[in-house]
Amino acid sequence: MELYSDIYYVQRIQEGDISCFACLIDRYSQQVHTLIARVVTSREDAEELTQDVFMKVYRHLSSFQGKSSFSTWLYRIAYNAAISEARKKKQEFLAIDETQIENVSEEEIESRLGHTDHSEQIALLEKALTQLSPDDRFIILLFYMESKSIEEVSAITGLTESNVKTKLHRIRKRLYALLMKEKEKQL
Amino acid sequence: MNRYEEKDFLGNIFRQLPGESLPEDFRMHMMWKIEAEAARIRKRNERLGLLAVIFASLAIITLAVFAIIYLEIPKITISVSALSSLPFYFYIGGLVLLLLGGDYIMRKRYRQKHKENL
Repeated sequence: MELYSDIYYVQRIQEGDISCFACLIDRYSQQVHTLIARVVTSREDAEELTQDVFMKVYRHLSSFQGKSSFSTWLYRIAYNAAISEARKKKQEFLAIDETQIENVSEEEIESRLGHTDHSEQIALLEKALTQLSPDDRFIILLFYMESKSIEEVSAITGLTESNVKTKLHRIRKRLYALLMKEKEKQL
Repeated sequence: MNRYEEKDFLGNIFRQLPGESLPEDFRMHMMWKIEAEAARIRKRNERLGLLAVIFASLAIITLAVFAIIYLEIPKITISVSALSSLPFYFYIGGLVLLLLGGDYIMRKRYRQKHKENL
C-alpha cells in the first residue's frame, strides 16, 4: 500500500475511505513535524501544530484539485501554520549588520568550520538557525533539508521564483555570518 | 536534489541535522481525531440535507397556498348540481362495500370447507 502515489490516496479519501489518510500521515508527518519544530522551537507547540496541519489537510481535502502536487499543498499549509504561530509568539531573532553579512564568504566559512567535527558543525548550525527569522528558517529548511527546488519553494511560500533565489542568497549569507559569530564565541 | 546541495558546504551540514521525532502514538491519535472529524462532517451534511428538504417543502407549500388563495390557480368550483347527486354516489358506494363484504365472507367459508376436506 505504501507504493501508491499521493494522488491515489487523496482520491480514495475523497471517495470516503478515511483509512488511507494513515498512509499520508506515515509518509509526511515526520518531515512536517521536523520543519515546524525548527520554526516554532517549542516541542509541544510543534506537535500540536503538526496535528492542526493534518486536520486542516483533511478538512480541505475535498477542495484539493491537484493543481500542485499534494506535498506542495501540504507544505504550504504547514508553512502558513508555522509562520502565523511564530508571529503570534513574537520570537526574537538577531539583527545582523549588513556589512558583516557581505564580508563573509562561503570559502571562509568552509575553511573555518571544515576542520571541526560533524557534531560541532551541527550544534553551530542549530544555534545559528534559531537566530534567523521564522520565514527565513522555513525557506532554508525547505531548500536544504527537504531538498525542494526553487519552483517548489516558490509554490509553497507564495513568493516569486526570483524572490526565492534572492532570499536564499541572503539567508545563506546571513547564516555564514551567524556561524562565524558562533564560532568566534567558542574561541 | 537542488542546485546547491551537491557541492554546498551548508547543504552537507543541513543533511546531517537530526529530525524531530513524534510520539509513537501520533498516528493512532491523529486517526482517532480524523474519524471524529469525519463523523462530525457526516452529521453536519445530514443536518444540512434535512434543512434543505424542509426549506424546499415549506417553499413549495407556501407557493401552493399563495397560488390557490391569491392567484386562484387552479380554479376550484363546486357546483350545486354535483351536490344533488351525492345520495346516488353514497348508494353506489354502499352497494360496492356490501358486495365486497359478501365476497370476503364467502371466500372465508370456502377456504374453511376445503381445509376440513383435506
